[in-house]
Amino acid sequence: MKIASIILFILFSINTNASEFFFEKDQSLPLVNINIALKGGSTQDPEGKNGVTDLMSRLILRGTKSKTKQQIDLTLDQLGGQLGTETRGEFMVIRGSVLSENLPAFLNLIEEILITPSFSQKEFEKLKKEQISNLMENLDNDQKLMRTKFDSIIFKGHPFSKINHGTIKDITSLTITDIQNQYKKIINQSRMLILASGDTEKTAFSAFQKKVDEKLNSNTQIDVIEPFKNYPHKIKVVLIDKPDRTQTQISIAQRGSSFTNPSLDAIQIGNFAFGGGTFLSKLMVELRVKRGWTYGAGSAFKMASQPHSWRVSFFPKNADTPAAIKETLRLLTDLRDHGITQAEFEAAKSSMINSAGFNFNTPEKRIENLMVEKIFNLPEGYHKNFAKRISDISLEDVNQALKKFIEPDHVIIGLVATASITKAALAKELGIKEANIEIVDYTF
Amino acid sequence: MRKIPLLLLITTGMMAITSCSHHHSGIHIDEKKEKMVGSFEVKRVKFQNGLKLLILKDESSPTFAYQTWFEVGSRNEVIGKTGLAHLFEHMMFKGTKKHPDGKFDSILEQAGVEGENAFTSNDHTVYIQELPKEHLDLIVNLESDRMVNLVVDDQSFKTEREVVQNERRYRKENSAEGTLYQIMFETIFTDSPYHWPVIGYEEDLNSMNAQDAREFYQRYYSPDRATIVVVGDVNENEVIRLVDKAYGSIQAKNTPNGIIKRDTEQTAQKRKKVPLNIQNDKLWMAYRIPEATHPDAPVFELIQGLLSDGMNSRLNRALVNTGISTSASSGSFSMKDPGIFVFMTDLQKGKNASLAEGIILREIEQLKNKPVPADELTRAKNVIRFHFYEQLSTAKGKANFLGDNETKFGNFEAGLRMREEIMKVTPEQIMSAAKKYFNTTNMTVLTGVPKK
Repeated sequence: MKIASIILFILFSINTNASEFFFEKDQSLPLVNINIALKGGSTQDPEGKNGVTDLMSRLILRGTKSKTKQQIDLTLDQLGGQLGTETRGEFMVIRGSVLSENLPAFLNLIEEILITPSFSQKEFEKLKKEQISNLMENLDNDQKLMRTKFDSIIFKGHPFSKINHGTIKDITSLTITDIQNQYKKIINQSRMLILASGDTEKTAFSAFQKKVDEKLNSNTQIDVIEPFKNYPHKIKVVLIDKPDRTQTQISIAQRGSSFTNPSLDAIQIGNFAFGGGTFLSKLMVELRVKRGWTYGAGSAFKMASQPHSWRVSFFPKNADTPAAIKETLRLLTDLRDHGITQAEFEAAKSSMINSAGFNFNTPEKRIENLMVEKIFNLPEGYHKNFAKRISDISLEDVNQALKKFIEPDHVIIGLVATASITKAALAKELGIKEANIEIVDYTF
Repeated sequence: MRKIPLLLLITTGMMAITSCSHHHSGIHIDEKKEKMVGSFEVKRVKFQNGLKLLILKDESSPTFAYQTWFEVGSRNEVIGKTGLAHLFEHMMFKGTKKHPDGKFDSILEQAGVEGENAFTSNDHTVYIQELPKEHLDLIVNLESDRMVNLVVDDQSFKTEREVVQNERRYRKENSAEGTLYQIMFETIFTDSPYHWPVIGYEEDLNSMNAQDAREFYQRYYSPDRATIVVVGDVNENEVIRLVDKAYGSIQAKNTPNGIIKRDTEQTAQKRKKVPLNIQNDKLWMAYRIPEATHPDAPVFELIQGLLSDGMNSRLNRALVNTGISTSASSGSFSMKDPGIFVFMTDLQKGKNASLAEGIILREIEQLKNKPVPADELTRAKNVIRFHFYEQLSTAKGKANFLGDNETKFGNFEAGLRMREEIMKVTPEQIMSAAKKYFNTTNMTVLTGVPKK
C-alpha cells in the first residue's frame, strides 16, 4: 500500500488546504475503484433539516454547469462505470468504479461533479419526492424499519439520532439553499480523502487531485460531536407498532464504546463469544440451536467518534418473543457477572486471529479500512494490527472489561411487532406494567 | 437501482482454450488455459465417482474459497414435502460420527473461516467457505465427511425445523417482497416444482420428520451430483491429491431425478392484486421464457442491460427519472427448466401501478418494433462488461461464477461462451425475441397495493 502524501493524523486537525490521496495498484481485473470520502455525514444535518447531507450528495450527481443528469448518466454508462454516494453518521463517500481504459474521462466527470454542480431546482424537487418515497419503502421492511427508527429513539436530541437518509418531515421542507449551504460546509478538500485501487498508475490521479485542491472550498468547519449522556437509568421498552406481524424484530441496545477505550479489544473478544456473528456464539446456541427461537441472532458495536451503542438483535415468532427477550436479558446479566469461559475465550481468540486476514485480503477492503482509520483518526495499521492486539489479551482482561461494560439494567429494548398481539405478554414476562411499554407508530 | 438477486449468467470472453487431458487412478484431468480475465486459468478434474473439481489459482491473498455445488434443489421435491431441500441444507451443519453436532462449525471457526454458509435454490444447493490457505486439508476432510457420514438426529431435526419456520416468517410472511415473490411463482408455474417456494410451506415443514431428511440425503447427496470449486492461493496438484484421497472412495449413487413436471405453455394473461403492509404500489410483470441453455438466453441478458442496467437504461429514464418510480429493474430468472423474465418497479407516493404498467408495455413495444441504435447497444454492452468484471473481483465471486455455470450448463465454459454471445447480440435478435416472448398471453401481472 502506498501513502501518497501528507503525514498521518493531520487530515482534520490542520488546515492543509489539500486533500489526501492513497492508491493501491491491482492489475487482476481491468477495473479502477475510487472512493472520495469527506468527513461530515448526517450528524452534521442542522436541526429540522435531517437528510440535507444525503440529499446534497445525491444532487451533485444530477447535473453540473455543463451536463444535465441525463448526460451524466449516459456518460457513466458509456464509460462502463458507476458512481454513487453513501451517507453515514460522520462521513459521506462518493464511490465509483470504471473500466480502467476509461479512467481519464471518468475522473474528468467526477471533477466536474465535485467542483461545478448545477443544483438544478427541477432535479432537486424530483429528488425530494424520490427520497420521500424511498423512506416510505423502508417502512415495508421490518429490519430496515428497526434500523431507521431505533437510533432516533435511543439518541433523541443528540446528533446520533439523525437518520442518514433523513426524515420525511424534514426533507419536505428543505430548500435548494439548504443544499447549497450544506455543499459549502461538507465538500471541502481539507477534509477529503481520495482512495483508489485498480489497474492503473498512481500518476493517473495527479491532475484530478490538483484541480480539486485548487477549486474547492477549504474554509468551513464542521460541528464537533459531543458525547451522548442520556442512556436509560433502567430498562426501557419501546414497541414500534406495525400490523399483522407474525414475528418480532428485536434490538436490545446499551451504551457503546469509543475507539480509544483501552478495553475495546478485550470487549470485542467477549462480544465475539457472545454474539459476534458465528454459529457457535452463546446467543446462537441458546436462542437458535437449543430452542429454535430465531433464524438469526447476533451482537455488534456501532462505532462513531464518541461512544455510540452496542446492540443484540434477533427475531423470534410472536409466541416466543417474551421468553426470548427474558432469556437474552438473563444471558446479558450472566455475561456481566461471570464473563466468558476459558473454552469460549480460546475459541473466540483463535477464530478472530485466524480470520483477521480476511479483513484486508482485497484492495477494496484495504482501502475501506484506511478510510475508516483516517476518518476516525485511528492509529496507522489499526485494522492490520488487530490480530496482534487480540493475541496479547488474557481471559482475565476480557472478563474484567465485560464486568464494567455490560449494563443489562440500562438497556433499551426495541421491538417491531404488533402491539395488540405482543404487548401484554411481554409486560407479564418482564414483570412490568403495560403502560411502561412505550408504543411508537411504525409510520411517521 | 435495485438488482434482481439472480445468479448472473453474464460471463467472460477472450477465451483461448488450449486443452490437454490425461487420466490416472480413475481421475480425468483437463488442463484448460483460459484467459478469463488477466491471467486466471481454470483446471478441471473429473473423478471416477462422478465428482467434478474446478481449480482457479489466484495468489492475490493467502486464502482460498471452497464451494461445493450439489445438483439438487427444490426442483427435486414433491408435493407435500416442499422445503425439504432447504431444510436438509440446514441439517448438513449437524454432526457426523466423526464430528458430533457443533464440531464442524467449531473446527472451521477456530481455523478462521470466513463467510461459512449455504444456500438452496430451485435448482441447486451450495455450501461455501473461505479459509486461510494452510487449511485446505481441513476443509476437504470436513466436507467429504459430511457428504457421506451425516447423522440426522430426531431432536436436532425438530429444533432446526423451527429455525426454518422462523426463516420462512422472516423471508416470506413478514416481508412484502417475499410474499410477492412467492405469489409470482405460484401464479406463473402451476405444474412444475417452481410453483412452490424454496423454503417450503408451513404445513409441509410441520409434517416432515427426520426420516424424510435421511431419505433425501441418501438419494441426492452423492459425488456424481457434486462440483467442488476451489479458488485462491492453492497448489493445483495438492488440491487434486487431497480431494482424491478424501472423496475418491465415496461411491456414486447415480440417483435419477425422477419425473420433474414441466408447465404447459401459458395461453392467457394472469393478473393478481395483492394487498400488503406497504406504503406505495409495487408492480411485478413476468413473461415465461425458455431454460438457461436455450440459444435465446444471451438476448435476454442484453435486454436486461438495455432496459435496466445503468443509470441511462430505458426503464430508469422512463420510470425513475420521470418521478413515477423509485426503482425499476428487469432480468431473467434463468433456470434449468423454463423460467421467467421479470420487470419490477416500486412506485413513488401517489403514483399508481397501472401507470407504470403502461410505460413498461410501451417500452416492450419499442423493443419489438424499433431496432436498438448502435450507440445504445454499445452502452448496454459496456455496462454488462463492467458488471462481469465486478462480480469476479473476489475469490468468492469467481467461485460463484464457476459453480453456477458448471451446474447450470454442465460445463462452465458454456458460461464463457454465453458472454461472447451477449456481446454479439444484434438489434434484429432483440426484436425477434421480444416479439416471440413478450406477449399478452404469456404475461403475468402482480400488483402489490397498500392494505386499506
